[in-house]
This record gives sequence, structure tokens and C-alpha cells, in this order.
Amino acid sequence: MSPTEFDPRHGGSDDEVGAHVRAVADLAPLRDPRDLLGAVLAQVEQQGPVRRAAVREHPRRAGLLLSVAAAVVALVTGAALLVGGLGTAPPPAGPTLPDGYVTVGDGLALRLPDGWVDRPVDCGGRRSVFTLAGQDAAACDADAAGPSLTVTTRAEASETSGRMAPTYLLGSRRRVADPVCARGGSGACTIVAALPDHDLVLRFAWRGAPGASGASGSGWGRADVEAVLSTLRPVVLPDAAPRDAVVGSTWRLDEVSSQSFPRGSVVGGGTTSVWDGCQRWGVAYAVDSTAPVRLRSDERSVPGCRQQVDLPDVGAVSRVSVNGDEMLWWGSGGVVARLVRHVWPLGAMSDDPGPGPLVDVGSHLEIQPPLGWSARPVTCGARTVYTLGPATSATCGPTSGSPTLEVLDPGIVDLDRTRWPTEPVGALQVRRSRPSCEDGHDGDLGTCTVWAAVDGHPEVVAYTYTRSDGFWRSEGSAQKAAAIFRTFRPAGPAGVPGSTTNAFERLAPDADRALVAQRSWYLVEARDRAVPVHADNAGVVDLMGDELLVLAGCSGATYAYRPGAARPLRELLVLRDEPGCPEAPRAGSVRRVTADEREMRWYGAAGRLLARFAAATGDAATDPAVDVTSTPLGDGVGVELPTGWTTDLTRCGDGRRDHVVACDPTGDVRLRAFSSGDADDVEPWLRRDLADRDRTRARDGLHVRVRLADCTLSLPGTCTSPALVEGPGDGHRLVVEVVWTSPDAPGWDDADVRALLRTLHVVPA
Amino acid sequence: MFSSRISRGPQRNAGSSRLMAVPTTSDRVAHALDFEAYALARGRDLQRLAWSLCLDAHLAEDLAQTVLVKVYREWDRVRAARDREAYVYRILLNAWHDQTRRRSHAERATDADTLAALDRRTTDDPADRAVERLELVRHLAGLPERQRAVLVLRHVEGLADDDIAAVLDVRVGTVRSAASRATATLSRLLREESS
Repeated sequence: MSPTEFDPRHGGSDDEVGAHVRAVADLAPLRDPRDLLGAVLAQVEQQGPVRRAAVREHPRRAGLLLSVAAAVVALVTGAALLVGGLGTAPPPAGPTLPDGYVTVGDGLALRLPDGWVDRPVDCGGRRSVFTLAGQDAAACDADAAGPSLTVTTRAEASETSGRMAPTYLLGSRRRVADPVCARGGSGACTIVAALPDHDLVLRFAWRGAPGASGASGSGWGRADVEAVLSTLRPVVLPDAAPRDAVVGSTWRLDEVSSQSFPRGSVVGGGTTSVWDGCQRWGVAYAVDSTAPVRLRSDERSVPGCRQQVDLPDVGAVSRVSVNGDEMLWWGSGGVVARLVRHVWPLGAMSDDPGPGPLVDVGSHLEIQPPLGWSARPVTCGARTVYTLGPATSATCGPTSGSPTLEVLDPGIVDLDRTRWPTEPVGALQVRRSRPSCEDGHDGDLGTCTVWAAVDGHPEVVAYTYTRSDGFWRSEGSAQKAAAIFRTFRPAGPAGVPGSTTNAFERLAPDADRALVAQRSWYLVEARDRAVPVHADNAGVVDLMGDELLVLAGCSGATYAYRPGAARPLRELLVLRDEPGCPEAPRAGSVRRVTADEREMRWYGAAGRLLARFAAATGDAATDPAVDVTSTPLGDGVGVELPTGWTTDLTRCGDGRRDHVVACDPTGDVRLRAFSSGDADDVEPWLRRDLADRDRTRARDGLHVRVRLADCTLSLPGTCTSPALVEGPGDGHRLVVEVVWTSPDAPGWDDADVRALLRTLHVVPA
Repeated sequence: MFSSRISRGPQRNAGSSRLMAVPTTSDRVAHALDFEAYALARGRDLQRLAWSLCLDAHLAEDLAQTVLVKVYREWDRVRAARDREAYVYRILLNAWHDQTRRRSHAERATDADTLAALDRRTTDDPADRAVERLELVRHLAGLPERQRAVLVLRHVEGLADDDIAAVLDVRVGTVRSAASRATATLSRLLREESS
């Protein structure tokens, strides 16, 4: 049964359910793939290069990538212009709408026939009526006069007209039905049009002759309706206000049409979303987009919501302008709403006692909540929680009553901050999400959360508040969150962000760099909790260039920490998040490092001890004094093969013998090495691909970057761990690769790879 | 909903063949153009699938765009994946999961109101039947999201249960169980609809 043949009234079997599902899928509103591709590439371009590593290490290449992306955007846009026609064209440079066009709502406009009244009468609700000129004014009773067009929302149409029979659908189901005319006299004829993807119902009415099926006594008929409907086109916002000017501020709805409204209706977000004061979405107008206006409907029946704000009709806004502290929304008939810029400084809140102590956010950022917030935050897993209230310290439990400020480890946060509007705060660009509210349980109205982040910094700060205290205070809470997030400021030594001086020297003035670099350290304490020391390199701190690496001992690096890096976002890796793995200080939170022969200490803001490390002793895997059986790999580098391994290549399996230098007793685990010229072929790719991935340190100053366990899907599959070995200086460079089959070599894993690579060393000439 | 994101990333073909690849300027250009061809070829299908999952025109549009952005950023891996579409399905499902998780419960898309306001049609008018199908969306939307994902992958994308299990990172038995429950639920709703 094809979707078009599906009859839902039959119900039934798996096949019928399948037909049902396919029928639903067939209703999908589809954008032209070229438009979609253009939007994708534009978003990619806005978000920056695909591979951050490429930006840092290969700026020319990254620039080329952006150029290519931009070129593709231009190509696609151009193609859309040529092929897309009126419906997909960007806004014209001239007037808001072509002559004769009127907005009809939900991002659509149409061209009225000559002589029609282009200023509809407000008939209450969300209904607009257009009528033929010659009448004094459009009449709210659409049937009372000659040809008229009534535009309503579906909900409105349902309420006022009862059962309706939409007969016109855009897209693949484009058709116009015959008019429905009253019987027994020269009554009204009607055609009702419904658009599946739009919240619009268009009702054409005119007086017709008895029994007429189209042309009527008034000369109006189906063909005329079809002609009008064929002019439907998206509304564009050619003169939209600068995005930054709109979304970088908070706005209050001050006036809609001729009515005044209470405070509390605010505009924010990536689109000019208007809250009607009841924590519900009103309408959303894309500020910087030529796409049709979007609608997210609002629920009016909210307990405690007494204020009703009738926002401009959906799609009625065709232009947004900002003049100083005033934002005007324009419709076809003039200004439909006026909003004023709202300044809500922290100190102005009635229940705000003033600025409180600084909160260390990490990566050289601080924020400053008001007095009264807990001075002793607690670490709850990957969160650091501050609360407001009499409690002397925050708790890790669910939020109850008091607002909560959480500094979230970016490694566990998966939020698309790129969609949050940006607001300049000093030299920082602060991104802040719109409140996201969750329903509560047992009568609790739940909580709302506002997230914020600073461009170039990995951390995300969450402000969560209950909304059980009604709209106004909750809405105020959102504003308080915004106020707090406006206190973001750089922290740490002056000039740290963007500085080009050596990060380690800057951040660890008390530590002897060589002393730290020459030793391996075990994490024995982090914050207030003791960290167990595992036998398998748990908590080893390693130094790679300017980076302090904290290896979790959980088969991988947990944190790669670059103290003082100007852009720490890409320096943090969280490869494992397993119970029992030691927790290291968050990236960027370390302000000072001290070290002596036995102990290294990491301090955070206000001299707080964040972590303590003990120098490793007697660990063969990290002991620089190598006295092992060395197997040369080429380019002056050797490796210590595990017990039982062989260099007899006849025992190393088949088919993969190129560059194989050794294998395990079963032949399933093989070590390959590319040196000199061979490495030239793969080194650029590896360098780029591994720049921000896993790193470790081998012996004799050799650095290793390794991509752990890249396996195919097939069973048994092939797992590969390529690694780039280089240093010290320009002395050595080669690529080694560990290849094994799974599950044929189930005992081999990433930890083994790392252990093997750590034995790499320089072979004396 | 899924208990968590589909955590196990798609496995990639790796090894010597990829090691020997040397990206060049022309590779970069090819990267973009190759992706463009993919997006143009699969754009409609992805939108259709996104719609079938989230059943909201606006969210589906966002979801499709989000997925393609992720695909672009991971294009080398997607292209190298043994089963490219499975990779993309996983991206899509994870993005959908994230979208659902982040979305405010208070936020409702227009379509929901639209559907709620529509009366059932009883005529044989094709347009009315199309509207009727819109109502059926509600039935699908009422299913738990894993069940919905199974049904969509099975009936819209035509995946076998084994493939669905791989995409969802669950056992085949779990897929069949979810499909059975979803089919039973929808069948019951359809019977009630017709009665």
C-alpha cells in the first residue's frame, strides 16, 4: 500500500502501520536542498573552521578551507537566485514588499488584486479582512460585502467558523476546489485555503449566483482565488535591525499597536523571541534571516498568568528597525510593536545586596554573583555548584528553592553554544541561552536554566532557578541570570589572555620547569578528595611542551591542560569519564604551580590548593634510564618490545607485512614503522589529525601523539593506532602504527598501545 | 527515549590506506564539493527523516541542518565510514536526542496547535485526507521516541532490524520488541480512529 493509498480508518497490521508511518513521512515539509546546503555552509563558516587544529597549525590551509566554504556558499546562493525563483530569492534592496503585496501572517505575503483595500480592519483576535475597494472600509463580516479575503490562524478559524474544509494546499498537493455556494438564492460562495506548513487559513468569500460553480454574479470565482493564491510568497526582512543591536540587549515590549502592556515581555535569543510574560513563547522573528518568520505558539492557560499580551499577528512583522534604545516592528500598515531597550544592572535588583565574591569559572574567567551566594562551592562530579541562600555551602542535590550557579566541565557539556546570542561584556563575548524550563513533579512547576559561555573559553555556566514562585519573579530570575553573566571578566595575571609568552613560565613562576619536566608525577589529591593511586600510571602528570597532561590511569588521558593558554577550549580533552578515574582540576583553573623534588602543587584562585602530586619513583615505564633490549624502528628510534614479541616477520600474519617490524606471539598484534621518506607521506595528515588528540611522552625527549583504537566494524575487525613520533628538536621523526585484530587479540587495548609507545627511545648512533 | 546518547561512535575504516593519503589543496576543495554533492543528493531524505522523528516542521528543519553541519565537520570520517548512512543516522539520532533533551517542555511548536485544532474530515476530498494524515502524526508522536525511531528507520528508511540495531547500538531483540510494541499501539489507535 503506497502512502497515497493509505486509508487510516482501516487500522491494522504491520504493513498498514508501515504505510501510516510512510504517509506521515510523506508530509514532511522539505526545503530545497540548495537552500539547506547554503544554510549549512553559512553556519559552518560562522562557527569557524572545521578542524581547529588546522587553524592553529596550518592557517593557510584553514583559510583556504574557509574560502572554499565561502565560495560554495556563494555558488549555492547564486544558484538559488537563478533557479529558486521568487520564493527563495533574497530580499530585494528596495521596499519591504513589492507593490500590491500585503503580509497575511506566518511569514507570508500575497498580492491583492488591483483595487483591493490593502489596509485590513482589525476584527479582534488574530483575524484580518481584506476587501475590494469601493467599500468604505473592510468589513469584519466577510459575507456582508463583495469579494473579501479573511485571514486567520487555524485556531481562530476553528473557534469562529467551526468545522472548516480547507481545499487549497500548497506544495505537491496544490489544488483549488470548487467554491461552496449557498443554496436557494444568491448567497455567498466560499473557498477556504489551508497551508500545511503555515498557521494560516485564508477564506475567500463573495456573492454568487445560485448553483454557480465558479463564476458568479459578482464576477468573482475560483480562477480569481487561484490567481491570488499563486502570488503567495515568503515575507522577507530586508531592513532587519543589526543582529548585535537586537540580541545583544534585553528589550521590553512597550506597546503593541495601540495598546499598552505591562513590563515583563522581553526579547532575546537568536531570534527576536517575545515572551508574553507567562514563560511561554510568543512569536519569533529571525532578526538576521531572510527566511520566513517562524512561529512558536504560546499557551495561554498558564496558572498564575494574568497578563495577556496580544503580540503582532504572526508574520505581520516585515521589518525591524532599531533606533537607539527603541526597536520598532513594522508591518504593512506601519508600526505594529514598539520595544524599549531594558537595562537591568546587577545592583538595581531590589533584592540584590550587591556584588559578591568572585567565582572562579576556570580558564582565566571569573564571574561575580551577588552577595549571599555560597562562598564554599562544592564539586559534584564534573560540576562546581554555588547556591544562594543561608546555606554555608552548596549541595549536590537537586535544586530546591534557591538559585544555583554551576560551572560545568566543558568535557561533559554538549550544548550548541553557537546558537546563543552574543553580548559584549568588556572585551569578552558572552553567549547566553534562552531560559530552558523543565516541568517539575508533584505540583512543582519545575526549574528553568540559563546557560552562558564566553567565546574562546570552554566552560559553560548554568543558572538554574525554580519557577514555582510565579511568573514575575521567575522572569526576574532570568534577568538576574543575565545580570550575573554580564559580570564575566578575565581572571589571573594581567595580560594572560592572548599573551604569547611561554604559558608554563607565566603560570608556574615558583616551579622549576626542568624539575617538573624531568619527572613523572602521580595525582594523589585533587580538591577536597583523595585520589587513589593506581598501579597503571594513574594520575601521571606529564609535560609536553607547554602542556601539562594529566593521565587518568583509565586507559587514556583524561585532561590535557595547557595553563594560561589564550584559547584553552581546544586544549581540553576528556577521553574517558569512568567511575573511579581520578579527577584533575578543570582546565584553566590552575593559577600557580609549585614543585620541589617530591611534591608538586597546583593552586587556583585565591591560593586555593587544587591538586597535589607526588613524584614518581621506580616506575620502569617512566624512568628515563633505559636499559632494555632495543628494537630499532628507523630514524634512530628504537622500541622496547613486550615479552614474547618477535621480529621474525614470518610469524606476523599475512597481508599486512609492509613496514611491519614486530608482532606479538600470536601474530595478531603488529607494530609497523614508517621512517624518513615513508613518514613524509603520512606525517602531515597525522600532524593535523592528532594535533589536539592524545599525547604522551616517550623516553629521551621523544614526543608521541597517538590516535587510539580506530577499529572497523567488521567482526573480526582491524584496530589501528597510528602515532607520530618526533623530537627532541628536529632530531627524529617517524610514524609507528600498532595494528591488531579484534576480538582475535582481545587482550590488547589502548593501554597496551600507550605502554608500548612510552618505551620509544633514541637509539645511540 | 534512549537512556543516553548513542555513545559508541561509528567505527571507521582505518589503517594503511588512510595513512597513505596526503591531503592537498585540491583535496580540500574536493572535500567541500564532495560534501555538497552529498548534501544535495541526501538533503531531502534527511529532512524527511528528521520530520518523521521530531514531527515538527521547524524542529525538523533545524535538525536536518544540524545534522548536515555535523556531517560537514566530520566529513572525512563520514566519507571513510564503511556504512556512511549508518554513520549519518547515528548523528541524526543523537542530534534528535539532544534536541529533545534541551527543548523546554513549555515550548510547543505551531504544528501541535494546528493539529489539535483540526477536525476530522469525513469526505473523500483528497485535501481533506491530507489533513486527516496530519492528525495521524499525533499518533506517531505519541509513541516513545525509541519506538518511533525504530518504526521510522524500518518503514521510512527501509532498514533491516540488524541495521537498526547497529544504528541504535542496541540488540536486535530490543529493536524487534520496540517495533512490536509500537505496531500494536498504532494499530490500536488506528482501529479506534476507524470505529
